[in-house]
Amino acid sequence: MVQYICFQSAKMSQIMFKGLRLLVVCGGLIFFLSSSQLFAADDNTQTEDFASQLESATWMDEIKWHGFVSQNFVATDENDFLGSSSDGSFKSNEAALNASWRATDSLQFALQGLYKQIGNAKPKGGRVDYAIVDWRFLDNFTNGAGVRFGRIKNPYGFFNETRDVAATNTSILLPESVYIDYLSQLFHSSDGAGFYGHSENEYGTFLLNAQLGRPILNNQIISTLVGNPDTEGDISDERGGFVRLAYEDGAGLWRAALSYAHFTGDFSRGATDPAYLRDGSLFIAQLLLSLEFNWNSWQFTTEIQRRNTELESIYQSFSGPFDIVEKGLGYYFQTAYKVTPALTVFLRRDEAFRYKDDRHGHDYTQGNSHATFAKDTTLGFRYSPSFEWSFAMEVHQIDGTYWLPDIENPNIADQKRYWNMFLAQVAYRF
Amino acid sequence: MYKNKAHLFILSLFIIALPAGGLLAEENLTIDQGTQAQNVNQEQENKEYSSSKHVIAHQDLQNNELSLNELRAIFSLRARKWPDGTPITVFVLRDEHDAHRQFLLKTLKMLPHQLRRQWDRYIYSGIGQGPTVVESPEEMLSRVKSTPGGIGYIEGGVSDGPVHMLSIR
Repeated sequence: MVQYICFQSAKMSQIMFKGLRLLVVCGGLIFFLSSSQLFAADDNTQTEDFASQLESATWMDEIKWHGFVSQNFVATDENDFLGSSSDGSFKSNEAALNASWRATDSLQFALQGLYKQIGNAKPKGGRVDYAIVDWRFLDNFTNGAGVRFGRIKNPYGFFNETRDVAATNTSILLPESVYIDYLSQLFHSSDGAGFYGHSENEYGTFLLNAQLGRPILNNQIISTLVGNPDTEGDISDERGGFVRLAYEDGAGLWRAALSYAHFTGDFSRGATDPAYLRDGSLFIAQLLLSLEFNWNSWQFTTEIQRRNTELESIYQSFSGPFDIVEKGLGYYFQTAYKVTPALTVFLRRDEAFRYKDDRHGHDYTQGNSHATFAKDTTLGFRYSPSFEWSFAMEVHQIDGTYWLPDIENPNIADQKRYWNMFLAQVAYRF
Repeated sequence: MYKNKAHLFILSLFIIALPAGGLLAEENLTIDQGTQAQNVNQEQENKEYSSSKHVIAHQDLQNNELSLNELRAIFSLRARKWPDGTPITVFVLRDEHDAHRQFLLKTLKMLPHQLRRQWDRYIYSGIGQGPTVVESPEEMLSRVKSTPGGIGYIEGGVSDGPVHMLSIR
């Protein structure tokens, strides 16, 4: 009984803490919004006299505002992805507003609120996407370095930090082998501290990012991590670390990056969890190599990821607790061609395997063998007539259900190996 | 069964994509010339463009010239301070503006979508700020003139302007 009360009060305080945090952030956003005219900067540049505007500028006017909105439509012939897509789904969208303020030459504050819906995945609604204090202590023409604190986007691969901004991606869905949508929150941002630096040489730029922090978890991510949709358990002591070393050619003809991510946490089973679940710990390590070549209107992009997942003593059988180790592999190749600067057509092959040594799940006994792999061929285009507007369409032909979310397809026996998906997107940003 | 549906999807995609491509064919021609400029073989043509100065900066700036790498670092928003400590303010025209594309391809010698990608990271991941976008060359001139540490570009430069002209070595 005492335990139960402790558990409840701990849970309540956690909920209250979360609520409080949300309140503080919303309050901050509203304060920003009400105290500076949101679109003042845009209007002024167009109509007013700049000299007089500069004279009357206050720190409020120095805040830069940006944001984006996008709405996707998803249709599948078999299986459901991003909502009930077999009937056509609009449950995939996002909206964000951000503000940044350079207080001094070396100190910057930035905040972004994000609303995002990933099918029926929880949580729905708004959240703080990032809230960063950035202090740059080295700043000259050849080198720059600084530290960041707060909720920071995790540096991982080419696309992780801007994955929500539709116009920055060629495709609507990022390759699921590397950027799994239903796990995006885990790898998206973390609360902690980071270091960044760059160094210019005659031919290009080296960039380094490293950060350590506490990832942002929720029930849905926990059940995905543990591989059990029914769990009410919790993960404590969670830690995430990210390092990325990148090189970019000065003309933008090619770039390369090597990223490492690791995540650890302690799992404690929920009171109503099935008996085969027990307290244990989990560990994920990911290594990603990214390469991109650009030549005239052509772009070739590839990323290759190794992923190790270890669940230590989280499952038990009659003979006692046991460990689950998965050594996964994922990669994609994408060719994009700019028909005009505004219109890009692309073709991509994306493959992901839960077990790199058993790519078609012959030894897999816990369900469909096609749940251990997914091979996706995608053809699509994006049309961006201006900075603000972007329209995209793509078709996927998929063999396998590795990244098909159980939350959309609860009856696992009904998941089909071969399926096709059509997506359309309208996006606006400023 | 599923294969038939896939074909239908792909067909519908092309039905939409092809007319769009056709409509934009005229724009395509001018861009082809632009992208050719990246080609090393086209250096002859570039010299004509490069012989005049295009980069303008605020009057108080001490530098008379910048290296190409320094210019790239400034417009990529990685370098944020002039050597004398004044913060750099980068002014650019809209992405679609022809003078912007020409400046990127011929003076900066960078792929426009690659520079845009770098700016987007600053704007949307909270690690910096984007460049200041102006609507016209006239506005560019007046903003650079009135902003200490300001840098921008004017096609062909200005002869008797109240701004500083920078040459690229």
